[in-house]
Amino acid sequence: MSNPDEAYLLPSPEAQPGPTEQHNDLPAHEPMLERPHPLTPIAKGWIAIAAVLFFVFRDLPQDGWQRVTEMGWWFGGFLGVVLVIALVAGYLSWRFTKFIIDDEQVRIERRFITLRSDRIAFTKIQSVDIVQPLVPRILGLAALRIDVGGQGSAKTIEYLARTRAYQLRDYLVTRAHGTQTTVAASAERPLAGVFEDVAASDRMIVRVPPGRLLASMAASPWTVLLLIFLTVQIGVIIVTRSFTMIVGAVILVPWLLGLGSVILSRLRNEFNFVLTMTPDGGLRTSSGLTSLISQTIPRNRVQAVDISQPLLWRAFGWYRVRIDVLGLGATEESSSKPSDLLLPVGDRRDVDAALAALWPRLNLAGIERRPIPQQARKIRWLDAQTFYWGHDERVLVSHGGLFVPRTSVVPHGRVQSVRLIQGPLQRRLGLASVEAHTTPGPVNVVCRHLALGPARELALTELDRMRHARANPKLSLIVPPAQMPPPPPVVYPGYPGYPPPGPDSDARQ
Amino acid sequence: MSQTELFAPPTERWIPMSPRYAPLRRLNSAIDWTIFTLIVCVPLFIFTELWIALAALAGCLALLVWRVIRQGALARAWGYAERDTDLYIKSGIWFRKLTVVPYGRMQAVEVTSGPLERAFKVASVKLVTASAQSDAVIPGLDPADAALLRDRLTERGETQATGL
Repeated sequence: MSNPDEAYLLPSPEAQPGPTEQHNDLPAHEPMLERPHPLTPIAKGWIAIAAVLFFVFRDLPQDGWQRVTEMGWWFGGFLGVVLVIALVAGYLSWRFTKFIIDDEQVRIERRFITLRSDRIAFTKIQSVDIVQPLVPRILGLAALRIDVGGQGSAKTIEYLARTRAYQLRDYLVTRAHGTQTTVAASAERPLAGVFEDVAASDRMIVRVPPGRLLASMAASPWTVLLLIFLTVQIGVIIVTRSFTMIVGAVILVPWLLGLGSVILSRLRNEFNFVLTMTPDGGLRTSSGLTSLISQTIPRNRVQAVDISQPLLWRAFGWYRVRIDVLGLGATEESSSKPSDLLLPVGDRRDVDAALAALWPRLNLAGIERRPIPQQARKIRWLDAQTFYWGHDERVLVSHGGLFVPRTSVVPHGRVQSVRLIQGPLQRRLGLASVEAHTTPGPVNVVCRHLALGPARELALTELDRMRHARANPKLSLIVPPAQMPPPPPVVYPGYPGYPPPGPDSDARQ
Repeated sequence: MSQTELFAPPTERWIPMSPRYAPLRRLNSAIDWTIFTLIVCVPLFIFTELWIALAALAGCLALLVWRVIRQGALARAWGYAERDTDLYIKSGIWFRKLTVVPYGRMQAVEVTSGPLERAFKVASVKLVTASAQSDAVIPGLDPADAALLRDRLTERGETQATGL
């Protein structure tokens, strides 16, 4: 660390004998201070500012200042005071917010009114997402959302310049990733080079064209129902030559509003969906119409996969892929929580590409599909022929459904428990179902209506497969990091012309 | 494979619940169905003719008696078995369930005993895994047995624990 220009770099591999001695023998990586972008108060408080400006100026074009005077100086003054207070509060909260990154953790310090210090150790970071709501996005800002796992809320760093946010995200992800896989790797990486444009080095896996997303939404059963209803309505009006029947449409209004909001939120969240693989082998999705959200999929926390095909999508050969992620739980379509989507809509090739990126060793096509016995027709009149189940040494697969065929895949090593169930009708027909339980999420693995012998055998031998898969890393679906190409060099991304603070600078104020 | 073999115990036999579990179930069931009877019949007595209300009362009481009688069989349908690596829990008559939880997957073992359960001297042992679907509960154990089972489970869970 003789060269002051390199003070913000990580210790070089030569200078660092081993990860265990790092904290004792070597000067710690000097803390880096990061402030929110100066535009942050505007990005956070734009609604208040816009409202004040709107009230003050909405009548100006017609009445000029005369109107404002009539309205009363007190009112204008009140609004002005509100604006000033908001700006001052915004400034102060900006002034007293700091993000400090040192050798082991990220600290988020807020010292405005209440003192608050969040400390996030690199080893605890599960994933780092970038969130860009509309207004910050226009201003060129982005927020970092750091997921530390568990049920607690994610920590956010609001707002940084966009490129800065990307750089920091990559740095944090690599640190978190590195320390998770091999303890020493992250600190011992070669240090050549500065951060490059990561987007260019990412490998594109799937891109969902906006046209296809729109078409896939149009091809939902609800739109078809709506069309049928409208046709009937128009037909009735033409035949009866009266508009009295249109009253019936009123009851549809709430339903239409609900449908519209679902479609809009899906459009907003899934627009421009891109699935990429970063050079260090991480998966990342990025999507959004107004707000852009780019989120890391922690591959080692993915517990199960669900591939479904709504009725009308079959004509286009489209599928939707959702995943169970440990700690994420079930998410709503419109929620701002991290999404459980791996692929909003894609054809067979896209699905294969996405699955190959997630679980390179998954071989769905190679799994023997075992049908369910004929007598199941008596309780599944229409769709008994669609059910099958199967397993290889790595995963358990169940499939079924006529209107929405659904394939659920769970690696044996991720199954939490197994249940054999039988209802009265099944007992009469000599059938039973087997459930494989996974962590909360969209995936439900149930092999339905097996014959008695196979059902009991599947349930009891699944336990052996679970144990075997957990004990045997070779059966993991993820290629271990040792077999992956070496990750690119990681350097703390300093600002050009922004000297790193000394160890006792205002980071410790 | 015959019907009985499907839910056959993995060891020699299923370990049954405490003998006091059936009376507890009977009491619980009687309370539930009495409340049901009241909710159904009181408005009928007030608002309808007497014979309708009496018929409904008779029906409800018949239901109550039948449910209370059935509780013995339902209590006997519960059973569990411990093997080297997994715990097996069986339950149900109409809808039969056999749940198997590997000790390595248990995140916690909870022993609970509510006021009624304490009065009947039973306790339930719940196995918590990372999955909300597991729902592995052994409901009617003798408190001493429950504590012993919990200790055995915790010990095996510790030695066999694996990451998620």
